[in-house]
Amino acid sequence: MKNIFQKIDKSSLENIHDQMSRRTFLGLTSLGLGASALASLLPSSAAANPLNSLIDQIPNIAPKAKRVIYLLQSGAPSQLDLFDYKPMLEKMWGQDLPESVRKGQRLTGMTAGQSRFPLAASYFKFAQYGQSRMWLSNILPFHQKIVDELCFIRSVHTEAINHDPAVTFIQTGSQQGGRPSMGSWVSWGLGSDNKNLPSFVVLLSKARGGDQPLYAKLWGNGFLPSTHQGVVFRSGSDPVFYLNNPQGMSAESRRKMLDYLSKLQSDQFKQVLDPEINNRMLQYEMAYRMQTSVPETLDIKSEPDYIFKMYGEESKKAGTFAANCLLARKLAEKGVKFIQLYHQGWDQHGNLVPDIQIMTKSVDQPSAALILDLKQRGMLDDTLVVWGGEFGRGAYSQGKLSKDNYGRDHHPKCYTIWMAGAGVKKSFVFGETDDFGYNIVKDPVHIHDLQATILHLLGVNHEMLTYKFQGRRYRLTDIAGNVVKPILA
Amino acid sequence: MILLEATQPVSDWLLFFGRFHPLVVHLPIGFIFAVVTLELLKLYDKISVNQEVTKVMLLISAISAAFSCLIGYFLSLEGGYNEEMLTEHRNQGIVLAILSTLAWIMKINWFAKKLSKFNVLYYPLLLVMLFVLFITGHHGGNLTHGESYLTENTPQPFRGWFGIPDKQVTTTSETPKIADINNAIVFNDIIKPIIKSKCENCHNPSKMKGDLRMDNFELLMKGGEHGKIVEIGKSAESELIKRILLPESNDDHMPPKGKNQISEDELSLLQWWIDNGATSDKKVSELIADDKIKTILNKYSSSNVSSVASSNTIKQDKFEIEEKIISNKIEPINEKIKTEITKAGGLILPFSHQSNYVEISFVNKSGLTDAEFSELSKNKLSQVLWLRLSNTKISDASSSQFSNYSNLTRLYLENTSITDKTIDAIAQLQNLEYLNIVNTQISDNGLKKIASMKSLKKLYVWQTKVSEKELADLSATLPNLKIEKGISEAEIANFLNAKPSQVSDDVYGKKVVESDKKVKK
Repeated sequence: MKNIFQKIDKSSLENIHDQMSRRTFLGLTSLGLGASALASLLPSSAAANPLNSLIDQIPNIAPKAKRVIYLLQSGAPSQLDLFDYKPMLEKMWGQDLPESVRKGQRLTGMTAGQSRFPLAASYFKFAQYGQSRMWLSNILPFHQKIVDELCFIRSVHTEAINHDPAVTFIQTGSQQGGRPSMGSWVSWGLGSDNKNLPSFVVLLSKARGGDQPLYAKLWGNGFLPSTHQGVVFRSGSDPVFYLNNPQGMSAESRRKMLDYLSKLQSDQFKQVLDPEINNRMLQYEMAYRMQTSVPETLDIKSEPDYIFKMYGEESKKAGTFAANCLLARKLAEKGVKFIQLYHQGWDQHGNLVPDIQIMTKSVDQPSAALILDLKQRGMLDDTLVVWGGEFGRGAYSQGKLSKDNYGRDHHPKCYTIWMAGAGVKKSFVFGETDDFGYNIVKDPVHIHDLQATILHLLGVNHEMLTYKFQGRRYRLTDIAGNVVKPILA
Repeated sequence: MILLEATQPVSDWLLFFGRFHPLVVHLPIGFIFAVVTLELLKLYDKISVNQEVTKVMLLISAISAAFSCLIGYFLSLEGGYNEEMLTEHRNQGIVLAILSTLAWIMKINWFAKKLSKFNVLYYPLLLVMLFVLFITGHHGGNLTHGESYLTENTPQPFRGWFGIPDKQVTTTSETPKIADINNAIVFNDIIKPIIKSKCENCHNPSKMKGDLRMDNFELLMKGGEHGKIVEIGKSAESELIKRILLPESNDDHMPPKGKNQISEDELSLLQWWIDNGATSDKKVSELIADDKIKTILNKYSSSNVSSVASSNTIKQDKFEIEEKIISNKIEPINEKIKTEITKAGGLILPFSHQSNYVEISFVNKSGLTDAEFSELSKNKLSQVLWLRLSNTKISDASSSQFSNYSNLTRLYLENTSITDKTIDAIAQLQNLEYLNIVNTQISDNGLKKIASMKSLKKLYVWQTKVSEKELADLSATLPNLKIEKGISEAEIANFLNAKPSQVSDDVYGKKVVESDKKVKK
């Protein structure tokens, strides 16, 4: 500390003083320091990355979607009990999964030791709904009501066979952690509309305790500037940890503290030239703005009662998926670019029949309500909603198969997700699996393809959103990914 | 003999006896063949045949040949045969009868003695008779079974040698497999094979029962003796379907008893085809198919998974005007103006690097006033396609400003204090495809003015004062417009009545409990 002060000569002091007065002047505008601080401190994409074509955060092509709400179902929902109807499993109930179907697919350690692999048909009844004649099980009654807004992809596949690598894969494009998540890429590539809210917000919920955990790396910024990390919002009185001023500290005091802090930090920047210093400062400023914007945005007291009814009783309870969906809508209204929800509890290795109903009860209605709510506010035309897990579940029973209960092990080779909103076809079903729901027979969509498509809808060419790090250019889709054109409207 | 058209009802007796022609005809065939064989063997001294025997056989041939002609005539009264072919066959039959008679006469002792110089003609006569027999019989077979009957199953390479076209794959027991079921033409690929295997044997160019040909689309639709058999759009009233549905014992039931019957699946497909317009060119994907039809169609699909796509009538959202404009060239907004807008709190969002068209959003300036907006709008920005004024303090005072954004395709005015007065100005925007007036004071008066906006594709009127009736009228005036009126408090109840089924259907109805033994390794 002492050294820094000693190194400052008079001209430097004057510079700092100049900066100070500029800051003070700009502080008079309603935006506060925000805009100018961003403009002057943010290392421009062009400078940091001359090979990135998203200069000035302008898309490559005209976007269809201006924001994304990703409803990630952590634990992996069983598509065979929700979306993929397989009467063959009913016919062959209890018989072993034929080797001709399995084709030597590796099994997880959890079922590899089983002596038998009895096929388990879904306990639930399926029927076709909507113009797309999509099969839905009877535990998704609200999905049945919105089926004509949805674009289902039944042929999504991944290489990852366990949760952590798989969720990491779907969020960051690689099974090994350390890379930026989708939201961070979008935040970095396209910036944010609302200057008072982070561009990447994360909302967590769980329906069942003791299920697969989630980690901050899933919404981390990896090697991208730390301003692009996902900011976790909790619903309730304290949405962001340590955001509010402690008791006894006024807003003015806070402002003065921040001003002086920025003085010190810009000083250090000149000495050390670490861009993270500026990023840190930007986040302080963002936090300051969030002190006003966040309570305002997340205030659900003004919502009419019937809206709560629409999302379900749980929407009044902070921290539930329903409450988070409602918040997601509010954040989308405010222009937040990437809203990531995680809902945990889908990992039904055993006791699937009652447990999956706990899950659907907490997810079905809010998901449908969110789509309808976005639609009636005119937001579904430029918002992309994605719903799905990290992999699927298998056709044979894990553990004891009885007529009213069974379990399912992980199954990466095929599963179902849906998308809705900006730029995707309504009432559309894409991709097919074989009669056992084990292999894909038509139109496979790899995780990278999914990511490429999401970026495409945002107007970004996934091959051109790159960041040079440790000697090579990285991108969300790693070295693969094709935009899935048939599902684009 | 003049062939009479069956213009008057033919006596049942004649029809009854006529049916015996294919039976009776085998007598002259058998006997003539026998005589020829015997005479040949006798000629080469292999056997000795009593002339009396030959004489009797020739007599029987002659009589039965003549009788066949008579019975054949009765059969022809039934109608449904190709005229030309029938005449030929008839003439040949008559010639054969005459020749047989001649042959018999030549064997009579009286003739043999008196006109002995003609005896040398005996063997040639037999040969000619045989030849005529072949031709007559062959034509008769064609009349009954169709011209391609004999050669249909010729194996290769003989097929190629004789220029016979490749065998049609359809058999009655299996359905033809189609690779791309959705793009298959319904008539050609699905209906025609059914007709070909079950109907065309009697309803083809050579044999037209009931004067009906079914081998050709136009003729099929034209009908036959009793008129049309297909009523477009009404399968229940179509004779084709009615006859299939008759009990098999009924005389009019088609296909006739004893022939290959139409299966249930095929019947459903025929009904489906007729109900959907009985077209010759529409594809599977263009017709609306319910579950039952889909299941049946999937049996035709060569891919082993359900793959019939729905003929979705959902119209996908396409902002065509916007897409077109974005691809046009336009000058970028002046830098000075850009600064002005940014300073006023507006966000300028270019659509892409290749385009100078932009979105202007005031999401960060909820305090935007009419005065500020007017100031900015003076610049007449035709580069602005999307204008987001939601949640601002914009009111009717700004309505005159909208004309400055001539290219506007999307206008967001939700949660502002505008009223019907502003709609006049908005209605002037020729390119507007999306209008969001959720939670504004717009009422029916304003809605009426929207009727002139031919380009408008999406309209959001939730939480406004518009009435159901006015919305319905607007929908009728602008059929391309999708109006979203949102969920009202009353409608929530309907939404909420979705209940998951608590009980499983026990779809596989099994009571077996299967246990799995974990093997410890």
